[in-house]
Amino acid sequence: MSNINPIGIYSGYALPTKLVEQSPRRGYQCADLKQLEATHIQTRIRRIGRNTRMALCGAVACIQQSTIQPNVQDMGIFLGTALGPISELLYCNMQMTPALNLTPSPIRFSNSVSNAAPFTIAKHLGSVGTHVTLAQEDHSFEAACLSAMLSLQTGDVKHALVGGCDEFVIDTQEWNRQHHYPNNSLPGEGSGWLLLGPDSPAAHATLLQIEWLPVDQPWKALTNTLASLRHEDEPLTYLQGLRITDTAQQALPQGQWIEYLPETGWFPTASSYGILYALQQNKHTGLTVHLCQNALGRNVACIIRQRASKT
Amino acid sequence: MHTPHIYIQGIGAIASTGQNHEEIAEAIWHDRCQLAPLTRFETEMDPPPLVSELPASLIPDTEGRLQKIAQQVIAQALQDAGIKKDAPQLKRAGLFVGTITGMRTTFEEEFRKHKGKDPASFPKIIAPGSGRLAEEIALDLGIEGPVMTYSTACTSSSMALLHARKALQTGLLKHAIVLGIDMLTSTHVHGFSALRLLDPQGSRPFDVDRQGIHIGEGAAAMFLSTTHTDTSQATMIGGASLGHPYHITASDPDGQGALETMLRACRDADIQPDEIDAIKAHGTGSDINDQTECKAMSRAFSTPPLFTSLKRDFGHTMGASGLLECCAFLACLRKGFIPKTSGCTTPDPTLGMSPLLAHQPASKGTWMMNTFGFGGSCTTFIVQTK
Repeated sequence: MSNINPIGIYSGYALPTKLVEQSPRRGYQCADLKQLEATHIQTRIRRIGRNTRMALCGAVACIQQSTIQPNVQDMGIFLGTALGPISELLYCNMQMTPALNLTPSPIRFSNSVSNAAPFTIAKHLGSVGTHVTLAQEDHSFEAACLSAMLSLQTGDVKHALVGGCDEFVIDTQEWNRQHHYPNNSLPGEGSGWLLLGPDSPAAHATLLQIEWLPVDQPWKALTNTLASLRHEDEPLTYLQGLRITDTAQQALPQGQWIEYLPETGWFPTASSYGILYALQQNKHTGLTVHLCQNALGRNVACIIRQRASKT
Repeated sequence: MHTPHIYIQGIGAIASTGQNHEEIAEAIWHDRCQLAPLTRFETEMDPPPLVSELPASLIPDTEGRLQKIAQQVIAQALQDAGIKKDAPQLKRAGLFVGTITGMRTTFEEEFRKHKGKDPASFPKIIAPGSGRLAEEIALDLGIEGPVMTYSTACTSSSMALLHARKALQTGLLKHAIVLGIDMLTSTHVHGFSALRLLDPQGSRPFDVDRQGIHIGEGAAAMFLSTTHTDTSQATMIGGASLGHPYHITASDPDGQGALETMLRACRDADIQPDEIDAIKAHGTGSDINDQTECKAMSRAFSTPPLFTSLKRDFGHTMGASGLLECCAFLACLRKGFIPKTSGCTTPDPTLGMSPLLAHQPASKGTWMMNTFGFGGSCTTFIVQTK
């Protein structure tokens, strides 16, 4: 991945979630979505699905918190979402059953379109740059980041708004079973966003690399990558994403390990929260490596250089 | 930034009209459209809509059928490129997939099992999502590069192709496999019907009597490389994607999004619009798409080049359409012709331009490929054949 220029991270925002204890859907949820919408959008957007509403709130808040003024009109929007507008899709499926009226309502069908969320964000912000949805299971956010990096590198976009958004829609046990998460995991949902642009001293951090690691000896490959990127004595912090176990800790160069999933819950785009968690803590200067493994055992590393002086 | 050319080394395609690109081109040549009432799953739509289904023999009703079709079409593209399945290039390649439905067809099947039961008892199947297919294929082929699934409505596979090109342009990768695949789903058949977008007689692009689309299913694959070899079929010289958020299910009436995307693709290719020899239009047969695309073409070109649509031939294959139609178009060029717009008998005079109504001899040239989609997604790419 050495041919991709480092990318600056100029802003980050994750929708706040809280632990809802109520069985059978115990997990972290965006419980105050209406309030967040009033705060960030300032008006109630009608006729959009919940996933789109979550994505919109997160994306707009990310722009609002930016210390730079991106050219929103030409900005790219890259949304990673494994499940997409899943509550709308489930509703469409139910509407199509003979017990109901066989045909989905036009509005439900429109809301279930895979790029409904980037469309709504682009419309709200007035952006006519490319907008893209990536659905790469538990690596959806990483795929969105890489797509954004490619588009920045080729000059197709000047800035990129990159998000991860998935909603928690079924019972806890079913959620874990269908996603192949450990039985005792706490589910989550969220909408986490980064504003990316060409690297500059104004950036809070630098996104250096997104690397799909080989199936055989992934940690050896990552160790080699880190050796080429790391400055002498540069602190190293690892963010322990989905399915990353002690094996990785034992195989990789020594560093500080941060386990964030107990505070965000397990969901396919939890990586966005993990990366934002590290950026917002702002005490882990040096290289930060986020690791995430999908259900088939493939690992992806996201490598960021944090700057101590930025807040 | 200088744009290195990217070479299309091999293509593979499966559609209702053929199980490889040669059969598909042959069917186009003989104007054999495959259009019949829906049989894939039960519907209470009366009459059942006309669709372009893959032959039942090709999709046995077994688990993993989507994966089998994907593997088959990728194998065709690799064979076309002269690449063996264990070739070292594959290990270092990336996989870029464009699909809307992915493996979601499986959860519709589960729903159908609950026919007549209380809706409250329906299973809530949410996973695997659209991306699982790509992960399984990557594992099967031993691909160690990035695995990316684009799901941007009808532009999905074009978007995958454009991003694969970027990965090659930037030097991130030297080789990439691009796959576009979509199967018929109840959600789409009924959803498009709810939007009154289905033409009861099948798609008739740019025709005065057109009433909409008919849905098809299919898959296509390309093997891309930064290196030119004897097997190179075509060169991808430019491309662009823009979002034009006018309406979630309708393009802007002025065709501004399509216009800007076509012009940007020409700039990216470092050519003037008038250097385009023909356009493979998106040409769905819906009233608004054909109107806006013609407006955009008339504004982009001082004299619009030949243009054609393949939507009648094997249906609107949704997320697969961009790649599948490009492969079919290239296959026709290999046979020495630009395909006519099947289904258009009387061009709509209000469009101010007429599509190609008879096959025209050609094999070399510069070709523009348009794909547009819901959510205001516009993509154009330009390929050259020599």
